[in-house]
Amino acid sequence: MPREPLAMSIDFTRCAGHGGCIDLLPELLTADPWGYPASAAGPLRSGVPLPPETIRPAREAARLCPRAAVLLDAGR
Amino acid sequence: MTRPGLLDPAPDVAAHLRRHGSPRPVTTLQIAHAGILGCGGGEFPLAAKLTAVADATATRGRTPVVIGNGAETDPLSRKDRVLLRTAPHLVLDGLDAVADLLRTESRHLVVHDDAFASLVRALTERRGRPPVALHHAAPGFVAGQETALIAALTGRPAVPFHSAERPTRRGLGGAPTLVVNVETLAHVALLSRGRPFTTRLVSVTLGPTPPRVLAVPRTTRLRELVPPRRPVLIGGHHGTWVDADADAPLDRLDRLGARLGTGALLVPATDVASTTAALLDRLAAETAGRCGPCRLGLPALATAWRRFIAGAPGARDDVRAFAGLLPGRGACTHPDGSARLVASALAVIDAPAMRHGAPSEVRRAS
Repeated sequence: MPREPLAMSIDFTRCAGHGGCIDLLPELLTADPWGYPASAAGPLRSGVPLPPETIRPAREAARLCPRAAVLLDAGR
Repeated sequence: MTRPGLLDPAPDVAAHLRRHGSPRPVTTLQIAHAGILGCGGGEFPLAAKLTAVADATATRGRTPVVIGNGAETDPLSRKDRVLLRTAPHLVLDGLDAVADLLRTESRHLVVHDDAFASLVRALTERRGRPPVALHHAAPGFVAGQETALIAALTGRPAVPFHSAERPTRRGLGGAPTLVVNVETLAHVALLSRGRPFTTRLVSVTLGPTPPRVLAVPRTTRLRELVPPRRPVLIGGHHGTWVDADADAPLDRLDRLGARLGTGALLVPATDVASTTAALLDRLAAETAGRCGPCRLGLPALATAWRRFIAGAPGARDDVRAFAGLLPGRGACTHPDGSARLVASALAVIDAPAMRHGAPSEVRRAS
């Protein structure tokens, strides 16, 4: 059984602001003026915690991101 | 007579040994006891970094790498260059001490062109040690960042990269990697002669003159180095402004909400507002040009700042909004440091005029 992701981070060197993750996770992410994801829950560079109801859409976002910029972390 | 210090000139290894004596091996515990902090901006305890590398070495079974960082990319800081030209053997002794402690022969040192010849000469004078790979530092403000340094050593562009793991766990060639500032290495070299961590190098810029580099006791008060009743930028381009009546010892700048960081101290020729505008222009010009929030956000912040200081209505809100978007949204902390600069500039600009009889240490809200 794969471990559930506990945190999501964004690799901004890859992110091109497509916004798919923002659409899938509206409770967690907003778009900045240029379309890049921002989160009030913490720094996206190192990871923001994923509430349980966001885990499935987060997996979807990671799978669908055309730049593979959405990274899920099972925790340390 | 003062004891031998960081900037005592030692043109060759014989002079170096006469002045400082012979080193003895150092342990992580001794470094922890001495409280040696990183002198490259982060002020992270060196012992903690060493432990992280040692742990990664043990769990992953990979030989670690040590990289001495003399890239010094903030124009307000000149101390690493001066140290490398004046006392290269102190830096090299520190590099050897740390690498010996980690039991690795993988030793690298990155320096700029103006110190390169000094290091080549110093390395030829050292016998019976593992070789040190000497590298030219790449230009650019972000090139001295840990991951950018590692990228450059593998022939990639000298810009930061994203990684789920810190370099201490997985860095150069996938090995646990210690990136350590050259002044920090010099302090280890002094510790190996039984000298505690009691001095720091500072680069003091007063007005339009170039920075002046000094070695000073860590208990030196800020106002012993810069004039009274003037605002001061502590820590360079990613530093913190403190207001005209702020004072504290260099090892307690936290009382002012600041950190010595790279040791760069700036008293501007003009004022906080216009100086910050120039700093932001440079910060915006010096992004890696990759991460969108930084590549686009920093120029927007710089523009909003200029509108703000020109009195444009609503511009202060734009400044706060753009600055608020920066932290944690990029591969490195270039945007975070820029946001911190702006927040501290606003705090100083907004502070009430100096009150007579006020306490000399002003608590800075974060």
